[in-house]
Amino acid sequence: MKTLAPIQWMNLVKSVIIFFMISSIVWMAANYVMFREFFIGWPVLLGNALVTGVAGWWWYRREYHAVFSWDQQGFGLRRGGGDNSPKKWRDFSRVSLFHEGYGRFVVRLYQDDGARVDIPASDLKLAPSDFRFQVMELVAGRSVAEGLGSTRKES
Amino acid sequence: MEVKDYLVKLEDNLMVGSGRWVADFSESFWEYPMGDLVFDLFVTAKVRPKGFFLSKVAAWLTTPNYYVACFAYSKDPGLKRWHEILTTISGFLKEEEFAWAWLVIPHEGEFSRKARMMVEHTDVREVGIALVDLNSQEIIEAASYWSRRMPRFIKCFS
Repeated sequence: MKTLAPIQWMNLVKSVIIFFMISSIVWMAANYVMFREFFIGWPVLLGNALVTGVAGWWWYRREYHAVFSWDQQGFGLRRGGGDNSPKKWRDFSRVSLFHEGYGRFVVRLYQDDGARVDIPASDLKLAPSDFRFQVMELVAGRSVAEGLGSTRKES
Repeated sequence: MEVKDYLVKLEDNLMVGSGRWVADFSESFWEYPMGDLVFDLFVTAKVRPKGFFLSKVAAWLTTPNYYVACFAYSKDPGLKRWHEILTTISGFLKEEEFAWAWLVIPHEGEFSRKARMMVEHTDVREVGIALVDLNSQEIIEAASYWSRRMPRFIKCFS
């Protein structure tokens, strides 16, 4: 079974920036409430950076980090601290490529009852279009011996 | 250029290229069955674009929020099932309340004179139609408004 779990730098930076802004506001508010003064300096900035680095990393792991593993039979996908129950390709009947905006794509799998699962292809550093074709082959139960990008012959 | 290569480029152009000037083409299906036909490519879109808060407010105030689609069908370059293709698309638009659709028919070679005439004389208001000769890179569009808008967005040969 192949596993992918790349660091998503955009989401990590986003998490760190959010915590940096929150901790800065909290620090300033606490200063003002307690001392009616703002203490700003290099030690404060470095301490804030350290705290937000740790908190941002924790938040990223909890909310965004994706671990995707798959083989010919099925796949497992865990997003943040979410569920990682294995799924079978054959449980799905339709595959689409969905653009979430800003160049980020997911490969969307539909079950017959309308339930769906999104595989974050861009976040996993996979080529979305090629990966979609590979998933289509897997869902159709065909071999992917031809490798990424192999697909049905048109016309 | 092969049909598949063209369709990959068309899909890319609609979703992240110039197609975004027309609509937010967000979801794409290959080998999409509809009625008795299986379309090579089916891309759905909303006219109202995505964006951050201010863009969303501006779009909400200025743009109607209806659905549109783009179909590609390469299996019948001779247009022997022409009526069935148009009926299927028109039925889908009505049933799913889509406002309009584009139909792209790509082919590696020249279209017959009859096929050209059929397209040029087809006047379905809500369906834009274009034949795409991938060898000569010629596009033949129907006369309707949506057909005439198509060529600049489906011309993705390079």
